[in-house]
Amino acid sequence: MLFTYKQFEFCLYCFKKSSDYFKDEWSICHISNSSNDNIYLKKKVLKSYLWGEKSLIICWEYNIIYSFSYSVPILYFNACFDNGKLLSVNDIEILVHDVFKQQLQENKLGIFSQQEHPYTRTPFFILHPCKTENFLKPIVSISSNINPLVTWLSAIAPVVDLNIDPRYGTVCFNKEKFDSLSNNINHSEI
Amino acid sequence: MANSTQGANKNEENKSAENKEPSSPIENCEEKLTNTENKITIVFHATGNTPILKSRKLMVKKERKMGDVITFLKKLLNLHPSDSLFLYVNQAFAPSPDQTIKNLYECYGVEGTLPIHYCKSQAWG
Repeated sequence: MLFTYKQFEFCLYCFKKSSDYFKDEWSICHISNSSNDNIYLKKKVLKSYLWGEKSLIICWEYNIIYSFSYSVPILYFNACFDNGKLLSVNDIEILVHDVFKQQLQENKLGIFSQQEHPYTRTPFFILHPCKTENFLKPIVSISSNINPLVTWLSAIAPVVDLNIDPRYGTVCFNKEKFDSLSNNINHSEI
Repeated sequence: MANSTQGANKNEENKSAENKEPSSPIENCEEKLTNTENKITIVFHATGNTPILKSRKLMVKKERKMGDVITFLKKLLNLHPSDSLFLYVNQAFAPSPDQTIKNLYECYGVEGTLPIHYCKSQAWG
């Protein structure tokens, strides 16, 4: 298992510290269920795009949420026009970075699809998490100094036109502490 | 969807360069120095099951973007444009395809080179 929830939480707080330092405007949201407390990261960005002669303002919202099924973080995202109307799959495909456009052409349903947000229960798009673990393992195993959340997010961010400050990769990360949280057992219960 | 005003600005810069007077020998020397200084050596490292390159070093102009390097590496590795290829600096940070090599070198350069790890694994699904 690549990420336990405790490891995800630890990465999240480290990421938030960097975000505050770089003035990147990510915020932590808390959700309390009857059984447990969960946290996730959220960011809203306003971007302008040129569409022919018109200038469009689009509001992106990105949520980084831990998936208990896949044991990895998932990127939930939405984009809406300035009148509040959500963008469709076809509209979002146009905004994907050129580097990924060909992959998207050949694998339309395999990269992102729409799902219910686990906490707000509103429709959001997600980037499919099935291969996330396989994809991250070779990188995380050779690197001892970077937040795995940063590795994952930096790799997939161009698909959703999300800018990640290059300096995130220079921030030191406490890998020992991360590894020590690999057990899901709550030690205080023993 | 790219910002079309960038194209207009570039045309203006070209016109002003043509109007300059011929340069002196000293200026020519300085220009030659800046031409070599204008390039960064990228050293590629394979990770995971990705094939290893025969020639691991590549000289790239500072103004080039990461996206160009990704496209070029896909060709070198005989990958289809629709195949996955991810590039990392500092072993584990994937720079944006729009990031310039110059900026990345300033953050992550080591002894005149920019080490880049590359990985072919599929990210989606």
